[in-house]
Amino acid sequence: MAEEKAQEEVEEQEEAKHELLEELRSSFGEKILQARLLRPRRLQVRIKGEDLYPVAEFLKGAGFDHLSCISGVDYQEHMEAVYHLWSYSRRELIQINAELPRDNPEIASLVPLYRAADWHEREAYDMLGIVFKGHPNLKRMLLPETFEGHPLRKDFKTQPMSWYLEGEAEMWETPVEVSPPEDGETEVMVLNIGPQHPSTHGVARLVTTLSGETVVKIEPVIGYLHRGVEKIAEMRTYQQFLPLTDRTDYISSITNNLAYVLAVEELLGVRVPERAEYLRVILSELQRIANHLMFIAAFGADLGAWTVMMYGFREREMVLDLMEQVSGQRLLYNFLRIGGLKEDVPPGWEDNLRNFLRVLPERLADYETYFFNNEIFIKRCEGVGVLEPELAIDLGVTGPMLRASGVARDVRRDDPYSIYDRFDFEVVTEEAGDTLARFKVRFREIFESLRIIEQALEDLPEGEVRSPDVPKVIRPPRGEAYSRIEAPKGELAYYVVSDGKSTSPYRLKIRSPAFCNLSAFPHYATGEIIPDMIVNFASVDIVMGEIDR
Amino acid sequence: MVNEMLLQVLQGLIAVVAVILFLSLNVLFLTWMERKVIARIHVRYGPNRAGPYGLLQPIADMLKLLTKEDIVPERADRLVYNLAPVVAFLFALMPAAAIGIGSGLIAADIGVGVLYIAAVASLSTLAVLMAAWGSNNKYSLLGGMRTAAQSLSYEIPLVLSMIGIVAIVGSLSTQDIVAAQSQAWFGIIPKWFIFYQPLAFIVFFTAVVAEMGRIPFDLPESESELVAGFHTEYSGMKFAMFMFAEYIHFVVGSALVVTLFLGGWHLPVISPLVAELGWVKYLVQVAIFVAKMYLVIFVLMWVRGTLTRTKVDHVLSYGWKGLLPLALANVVITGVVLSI
Amino acid sequence: MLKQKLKNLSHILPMSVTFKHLFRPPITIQYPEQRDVMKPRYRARQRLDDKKCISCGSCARVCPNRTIQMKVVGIEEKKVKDRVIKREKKHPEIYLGRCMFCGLCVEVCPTGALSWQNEPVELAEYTREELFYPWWKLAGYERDPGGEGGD
Repeated sequence: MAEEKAQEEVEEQEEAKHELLEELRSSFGEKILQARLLRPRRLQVRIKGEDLYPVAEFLKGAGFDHLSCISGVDYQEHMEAVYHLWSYSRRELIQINAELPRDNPEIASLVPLYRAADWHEREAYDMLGIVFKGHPNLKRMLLPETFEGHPLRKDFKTQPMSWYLEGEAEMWETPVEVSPPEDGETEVMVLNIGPQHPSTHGVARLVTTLSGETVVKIEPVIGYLHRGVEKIAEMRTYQQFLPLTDRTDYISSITNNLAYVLAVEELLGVRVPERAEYLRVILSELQRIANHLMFIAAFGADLGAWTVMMYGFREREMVLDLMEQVSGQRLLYNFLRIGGLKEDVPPGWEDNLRNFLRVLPERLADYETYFFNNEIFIKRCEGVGVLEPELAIDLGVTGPMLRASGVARDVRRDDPYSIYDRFDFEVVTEEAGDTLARFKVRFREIFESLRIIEQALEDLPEGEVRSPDVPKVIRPPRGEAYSRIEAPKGELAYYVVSDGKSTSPYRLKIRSPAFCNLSAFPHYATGEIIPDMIVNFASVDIVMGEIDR
Repeated sequence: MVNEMLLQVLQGLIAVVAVILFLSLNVLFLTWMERKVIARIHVRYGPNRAGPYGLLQPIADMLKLLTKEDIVPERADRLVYNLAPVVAFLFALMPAAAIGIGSGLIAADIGVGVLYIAAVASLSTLAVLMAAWGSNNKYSLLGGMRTAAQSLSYEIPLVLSMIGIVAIVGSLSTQDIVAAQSQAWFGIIPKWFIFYQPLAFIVFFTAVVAEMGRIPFDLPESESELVAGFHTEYSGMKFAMFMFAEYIHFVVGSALVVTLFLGGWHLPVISPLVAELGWVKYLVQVAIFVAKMYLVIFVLMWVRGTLTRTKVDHVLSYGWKGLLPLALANVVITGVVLSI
Repeated sequence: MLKQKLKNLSHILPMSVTFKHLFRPPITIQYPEQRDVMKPRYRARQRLDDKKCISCGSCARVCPNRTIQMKVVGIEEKKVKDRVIKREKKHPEIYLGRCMFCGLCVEVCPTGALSWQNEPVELAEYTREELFYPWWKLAGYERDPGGEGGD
């Protein structure tokens, strides 16, 4: 019933002559097999695999400059490669479903158009076996090179494989293609900044090629924390999967919950009560504060100032205390539910929150005194790792990294979700694009989050926190949903496909911001010496849980 | 004749033992004090389990290091590898012979004290290079090279900043330098060289921090960004020797700062008071000297708790392009002022 | 400009920040002599009230990691219209080594038999087998009361 109503609405809107659809149909005519408007600002078109490149080229010319995500879905008779493109100027998202034959899934690679497509296509190849013709370096991403099989296919059977011992070691023996040294020049050396990292960034591995002290080439190798979350999602119900979303970006868990829950609520067509919306906003902004405090602490620790790390964790402890009062856990909360929150906040929590809002700016004044009057720190970070705005957009960088290069884009402003359009806050940008700018952006964003929390606290309505329309057994109708939010690290998006028959998602893809930011890292971080590269790496603010999933 | 010689030898031995004892006690106390001060800056407790207030912690550390296994890398250069900690310890102790903690309480009152200290202080770089080379480890070698570069670049400003003082005092002996600071304006404000040579003080202070290898010039100690420093491959007692040598550098460097710039064992009101009291005078002098030394040590620990590490090329550029011109300018200014 | 640069170079302001902190009381507590007090909703260890458990098995079904198993502890007899219905009485057993403390089992329990025990809990054990909590340990008994039927 709900599905038919949605279908009618969609057809009405389609007939209302969607502008972009008109342009597409006029250029490609019959090649557009089907088009639908999933909701305002989400257009979906379906094409055949071989028509992808011309359509993408046309769209890039029409203003779609941000490639958000490339996923693959295995429908048993055919496969689909799903592309999500966002236009900053038109503020619209287009989802392209490209149909591919299942026995030989090949499609043109979009790397010449969007450099951000690089890692996404490698992952789709790794997980599903879709071959992208024209990709410069189509190797496996999350699984070891010697792995056999493609896990996200529906006919994949887990079996013990003794894959990783042979063949893996030889692959890193030869240095990558750099011209042989001339007279007087030093030979290049391949150095492994290995999975056991001295600073607190998780198991990231950077294979750096050094010429003396200068970094010539960096190749990040990821997959050390790969737990197969997307495959697990296909075997758990929607409700059961919620605690697992916490564990992707474990520093700010509520935002992951939020992205997932928004996608499922879109599929179900459920409206969340007002009080729950306000509380969700408050909790998300608290997570943003916690994440940025952790960034400041880890950044100081990377530079050798252990004191800052202690102070950062002390401030973060206040946020964790608040969250413990609300949800019962300090790090992985599992507090949002489909249709609202798990339960209401305990009495006295709002007073604690107000106290926190009063105390934190005084503590942050200390940080400001410490960092911005510190010559060594400023000299260490200024001019290091400069990222140009055009390169940033091309590489798919989002979040504070993008805003530090001067591009004022924020998903809360451009594509408002939940009730963010009711709040008044500033999108913090800096012009320089270097490490110091990224630090400053994150530092000032804490103050903006405090503002949002204050506004939300003032208007917090009474009422229930869980929507009564959510059925006991969640079985969404057939459909797809793509929810984007502004997680503290960048744009986090969940692409959920439901087949209408089962209580588990048919396919769930997580577009994590750290994945895309890290894919941009090798392109602008070369040419510096090792300590600079370490500081640069720290300013990307990654967490391996969401890169590897 | 023989008796005289024997007496002299005995005196020399007693002096050596006294110096080593003094330094060792200070170093033991310093390991505890450093951890406590850093902990307090971090708003936490620091060691408080081993003994009251954790005062037996250095003993516990020593026991631990003594009982560790001594691992020698397979392809290490044995002679160089085994000799490096000894050399480090030796050359760390040598400058202490020319620094006195009271008038006449000095191991070797040679007339060229300052020159001797400057000469011997640069020898400790040898130990670092020996350790780096003998370990047969790429990263140790890189770390050792960086350390050697840092030490070399900061030696020259160190020595140059001492020249102004020598010019004012007219003698190279440390006893004379301290004696020259014993006067006071109006009986209260002491005529220490920190007021006469502020530029030299800044240069010397920065250079001595770099020589000690402490944050912000942290390259030898914990280059944990990437490389683990020249003493990666050492374990057990050899590592303890390196740590000991480093803390001895710390104490000797602070003592040098106190001797040269902060008036040694003189305080304006108290020193004239006790000057006539016989052996009590020596106790008071030692107490004043030690107090001033710990003040400098505390400031250095506070700096360690606050600042970040500098980058390798910044370290060298601060040394050559920043401190060296300042030191030279100081020499010129001192010369001009003295000749007027 | 030059004044700012000199001020930065002397690092006097960062040093004043850390100097202030020297005189603040420590923020750490001395475990194990002092323990932290957990908030009421803290999710530490499940507690079973075996009088309220109706053997529905919802907790076992909802657990994402499948760490809860239902163990048959007896046969319950009920008289309904001169027939005697025999039903198995089951209680949950949780392997805490695999539990991720997500809270879904406690949330879904219809009678509230499963709840959180929020005093300070120290769950560390020496062997993996000790982490497997049988139903009587969850319910607070010292040892297995033997196959009792339900009330």
